[in-house]
Amino acid sequence: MKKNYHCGSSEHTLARRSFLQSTCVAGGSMLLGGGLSNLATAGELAGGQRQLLVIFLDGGLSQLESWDPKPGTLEGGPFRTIPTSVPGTHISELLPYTAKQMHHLAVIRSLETTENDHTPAKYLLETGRNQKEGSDFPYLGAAAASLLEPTGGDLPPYVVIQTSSYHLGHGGFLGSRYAGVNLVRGKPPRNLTPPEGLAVEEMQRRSQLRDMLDRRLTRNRRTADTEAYASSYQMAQRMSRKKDVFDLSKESKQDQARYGEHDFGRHCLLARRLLEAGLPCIQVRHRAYDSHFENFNIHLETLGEFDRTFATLMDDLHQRGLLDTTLVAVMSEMGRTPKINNQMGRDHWTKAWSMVLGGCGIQSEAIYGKTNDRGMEIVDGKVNQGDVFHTIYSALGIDSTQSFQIGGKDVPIAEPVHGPIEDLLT
Amino acid sequence: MSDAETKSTAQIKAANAGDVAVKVNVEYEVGKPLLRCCFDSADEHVFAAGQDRNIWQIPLEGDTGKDNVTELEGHDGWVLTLATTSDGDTLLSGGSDGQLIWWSLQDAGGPKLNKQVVNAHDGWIRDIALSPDEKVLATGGNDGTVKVWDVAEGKLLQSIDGHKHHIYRVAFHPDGKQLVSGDLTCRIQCWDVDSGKSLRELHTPSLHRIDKNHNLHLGGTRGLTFDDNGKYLAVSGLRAAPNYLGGAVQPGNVILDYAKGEIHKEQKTKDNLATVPWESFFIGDHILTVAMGGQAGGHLVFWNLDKEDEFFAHKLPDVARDMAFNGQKNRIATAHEDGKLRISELKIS
Repeated sequence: MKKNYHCGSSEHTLARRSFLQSTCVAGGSMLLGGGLSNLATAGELAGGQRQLLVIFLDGGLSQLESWDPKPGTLEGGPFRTIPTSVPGTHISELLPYTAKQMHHLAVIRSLETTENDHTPAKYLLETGRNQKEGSDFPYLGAAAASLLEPTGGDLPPYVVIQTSSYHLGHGGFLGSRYAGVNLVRGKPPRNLTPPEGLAVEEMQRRSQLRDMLDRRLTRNRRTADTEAYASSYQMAQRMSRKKDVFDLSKESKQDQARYGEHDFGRHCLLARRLLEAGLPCIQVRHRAYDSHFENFNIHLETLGEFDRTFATLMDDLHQRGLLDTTLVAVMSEMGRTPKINNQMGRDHWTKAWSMVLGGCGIQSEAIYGKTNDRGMEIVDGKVNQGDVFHTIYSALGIDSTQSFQIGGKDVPIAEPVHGPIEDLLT
Repeated sequence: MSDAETKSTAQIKAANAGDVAVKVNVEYEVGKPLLRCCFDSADEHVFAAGQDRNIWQIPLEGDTGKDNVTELEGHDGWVLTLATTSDGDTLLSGGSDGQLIWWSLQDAGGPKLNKQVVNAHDGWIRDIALSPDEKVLATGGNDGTVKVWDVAEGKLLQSIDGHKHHIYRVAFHPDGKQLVSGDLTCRIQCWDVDSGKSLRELHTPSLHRIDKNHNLHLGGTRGLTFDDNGKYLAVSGLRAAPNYLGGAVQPGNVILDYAKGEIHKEQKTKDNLATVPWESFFIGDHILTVAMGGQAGGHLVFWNLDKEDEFFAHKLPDVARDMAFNGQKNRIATAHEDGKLRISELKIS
């Protein structure tokens, strides 16, 4: 069913959405009803529904201190490389725990993008499109959620877990229904619990009254704003029934310790919990990679926090069968210059940088593309964000050549001039 | 002599400090950004290290070009700290590879690798300090341990845990019996050298904070040095960081009365120079000298112990990342980001 959003419809659907599997919610809800007591079977209960987890390293991870190190060169920095669980593949010594999980991951070492400032670069890597006046593309999580989300779920289709309160995860032309629900510092959305002393019956009466007023208001003047308002109430009501899903205290002390006593650890543990609950798209953000100053000290600190937590998450997703149905992407908005500046920092760099994919649909252990000895340019397999978005959609089982229908127009879900990186797909 | 000879001469009258004059005399081309430097005891060479695995031996007489520089190969990462013994026999180096290397300086054919401890630390060795009698040396690194070594034998004498964060600096008290170490959070631990036991902890809170938005430490003990009498301990670091990731940082010193364990003076630069203190030394018992480099370029800055602001800041031709005094403390070597090592004359009257 396809309708024009601006003509009053609440649905913004993919033209040929029927190819998607949509059996997750029942399973996910049943699981939640069971109090997440049998997490080992979460992947099974999800019934093959594919999910997306993006770990976004805000500011621009240095590819030289992570996935594409160049030790012993003028630009290489002070760190050495270490072998990984994939014979022949080496990464920076800053990632010793991740190195043991590389058999679950594939590395793209040949990304070239065009935006060198944070805001347009984030838009580019979050939407797969250049930011142009009037453009309103949905973020990857929102777009994927609209394509993956089963109907009738009690959980939001897309959440963004971050330390900052800056709102992220825009739904763009898909509207608020698929916009990311922001979980700041891993805390559950506010006001999920009814005010003290308010009886369930009273809550229901209030809800009925609001629904009646909504219907009256929107009878002849349905707009995106009123729809978003109603939609957010409906989502809040549904989420209030599942508020335990957001409660990390339900996780064992041992697991909390394994993930780390810091925001990123808590956020990744929450991501695991939400994936187990069947939530389609999750983004976890980790900050402070914009290291114009003392790049090496900063990456020691940030990757020191990232490494163990991320490796723990990958291992858990594998052990629990969730990697079979979850696509994991570790990305930034840009890389960092090979040249080390006079403050021991690295600046913005879009000419030759890296990202990592893993999980469902991805050819694990693959290394795609190559940079030259000093990391200054790509010598093989140049790709950009468009290729990456096609690859992600394809790995999720979504035909990336399809289009959204918005305002009567076909809007390709990924740039048609690009295509998936076939070597990375299973 | 180079053009630099005429570039920068400055003199200033300082209350209680006498006249200070600094003049860049000569500059040597190494060709790679430099991080560290130290004189040999004969004042004939300077050793430098930088964004490279090698150490460069630079003769102070003769050609100042790259061709006259000897490269010492042994590390598998950047060389982050250097020290020489006063008998002229030994150069010590520590690196990001965790290796501690003894270089013999008395061989006719030039410096040779003598002893090598491959895993001296788990991760970077950030600093080496020699005891006053030079019988032992201390190292500190990213593994949060202080290690004490026999200089002659190269044997590990003590391995001391006590820091939760990377150790940036180590220094011996002039009595040789105590050792201090400073970490990312600018906590200063005081150790008994013989036993390795903790004596006390000193803290300089103005030099450390946590950026809660980024969950990032803003700090680091960038300089740690005793005055000649051991009465004062100067801790240098970052007193403010309006934009840490962008390098908008402001340097500061905390002068501790070591015996009392109290803060004697907090110091800053008059203009809040956007620079990082990279190394500090006392001249005598009342002048603290700090080499700085960053957004605001390179400087040698001089403070009187009792004053908040510096009495003299000498601008260098480029970002400075280290300095070393010769034995007579009348020459200063500075290591620069532009790949040049500069030698300045210092006059204090």
